[in-house]
Amino acid sequence: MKLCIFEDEKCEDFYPISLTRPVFGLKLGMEELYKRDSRLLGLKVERAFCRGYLAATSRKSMGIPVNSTEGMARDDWLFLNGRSMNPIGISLDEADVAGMRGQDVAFIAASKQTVKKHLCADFKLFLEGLLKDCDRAEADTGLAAHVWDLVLRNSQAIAEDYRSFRRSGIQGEMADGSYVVGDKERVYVAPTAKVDPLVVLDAANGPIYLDEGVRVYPHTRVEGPSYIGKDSQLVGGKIREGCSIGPVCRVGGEVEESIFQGYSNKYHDGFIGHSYVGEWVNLGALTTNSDLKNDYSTVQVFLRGRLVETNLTKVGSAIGDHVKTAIGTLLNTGTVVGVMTVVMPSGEVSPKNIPSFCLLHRNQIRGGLGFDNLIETAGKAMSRRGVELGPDEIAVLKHIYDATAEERESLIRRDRRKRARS
Amino acid sequence: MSVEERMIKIITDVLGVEREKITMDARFVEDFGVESIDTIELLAASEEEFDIEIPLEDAEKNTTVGQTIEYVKRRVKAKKR
Repeated sequence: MKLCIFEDEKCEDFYPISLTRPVFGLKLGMEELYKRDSRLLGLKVERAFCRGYLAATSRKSMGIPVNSTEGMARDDWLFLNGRSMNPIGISLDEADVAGMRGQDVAFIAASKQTVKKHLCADFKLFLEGLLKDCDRAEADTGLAAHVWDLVLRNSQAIAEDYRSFRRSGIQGEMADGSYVVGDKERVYVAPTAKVDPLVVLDAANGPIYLDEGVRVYPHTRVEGPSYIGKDSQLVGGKIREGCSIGPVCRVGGEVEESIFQGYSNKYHDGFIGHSYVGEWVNLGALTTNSDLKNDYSTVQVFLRGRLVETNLTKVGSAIGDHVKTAIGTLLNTGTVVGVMTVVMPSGEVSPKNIPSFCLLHRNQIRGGLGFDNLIETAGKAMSRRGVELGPDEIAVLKHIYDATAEERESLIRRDRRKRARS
Repeated sequence: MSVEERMIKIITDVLGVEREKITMDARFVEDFGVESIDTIELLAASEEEFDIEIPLEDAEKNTTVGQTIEYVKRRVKAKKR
């Protein structure tokens, strides 16, 4: 049986993080969801289906056919929802069964005969066809519904992944004067990782995995469960439990129960908690987000123009790719910052909904720095890390720029009206 | 006050430049040492003063005081239509 991973329409509930990548490219534990599902199922992902504008970049990053049904009739396939957080209870020996989570398809295991019968270029119709010929049952597979579900489950996922990877021990360089608290078997320092003096790796409450090329500088305390991805640097501060950081991030200050997709910097002091940070983000010194309201009530988050109740008391920020925050930025509880937006502080806590490609200045949403300017800056930032911002990536960003124009312009007009009244 | 006078007041207030140094040919970067943050402040103050919208990419194209004043005049005129 071959594995096919797909997005359903709820992928949009993961904005702004899923604006720039398929939902199965979001991270949980130590890997992207699709890699994690593949490992846990013991099946290689051989096909993927996602929103059309992400097909070219996904094809490149995954190295498999994307949004193509060509040749699928030759095999049995397991179609797995890309929002799956734990693909358990899926029997690879049974075909023509569908696992449901309420109205959502968690997975469909289809025989090649059934695949052949319903195969068509439109993936949604294809899936609907398959579903008609499958026995349905409630699935054990948990589907994330929002970004905060991934953040909430991250500690557990790191611990599961640590066990699954079966690596432990200090294989890299751990300087005299650096310490492991708890069971050393719950710490993995990869052969090319380096831990400086005056570092504490506290594995008392969960494992710590320092991947290849990681460098941990003095005056850093890492609490498990935590995963520090390839070539990332921890430059002093507190990395609290439940953090997945990297690859190629530089992080300091205090971070708690947060996911950094990769290639992002939070070099200086400031607190990021219960947050999801996209790629190529730069958080200026003292950037801090609130993840708990003073009255301990549940947090609401703006999602596609409406407030969504999270039913959680701890929710931080969702920060899209290429966001830059200036020094001293304060992000409100449950703030969403769209792709390529620049946040300049006003001394006040930010509004909760900051759209893509805009400038937040004096706590008011303004037109951004211009698409071409932003692309030029992003290209420079990426080339510093040896990554090219190619035409396919620019096309994705242009699509997002156009797709988010209405919301952005509406909020700019709203804030202009506010200014005119004041 | 005319648009020109109001803009000159904004420039003196935001950039702290003396009034007599503000000529139509004066260049923001070379003559006043304006940095990107100053451009945003000027833009914000101008938007608020005239209740208009100025994309930053437009603001950056206007490199002199004269160009900026002409640009703002056009935006104000367009708004009145």
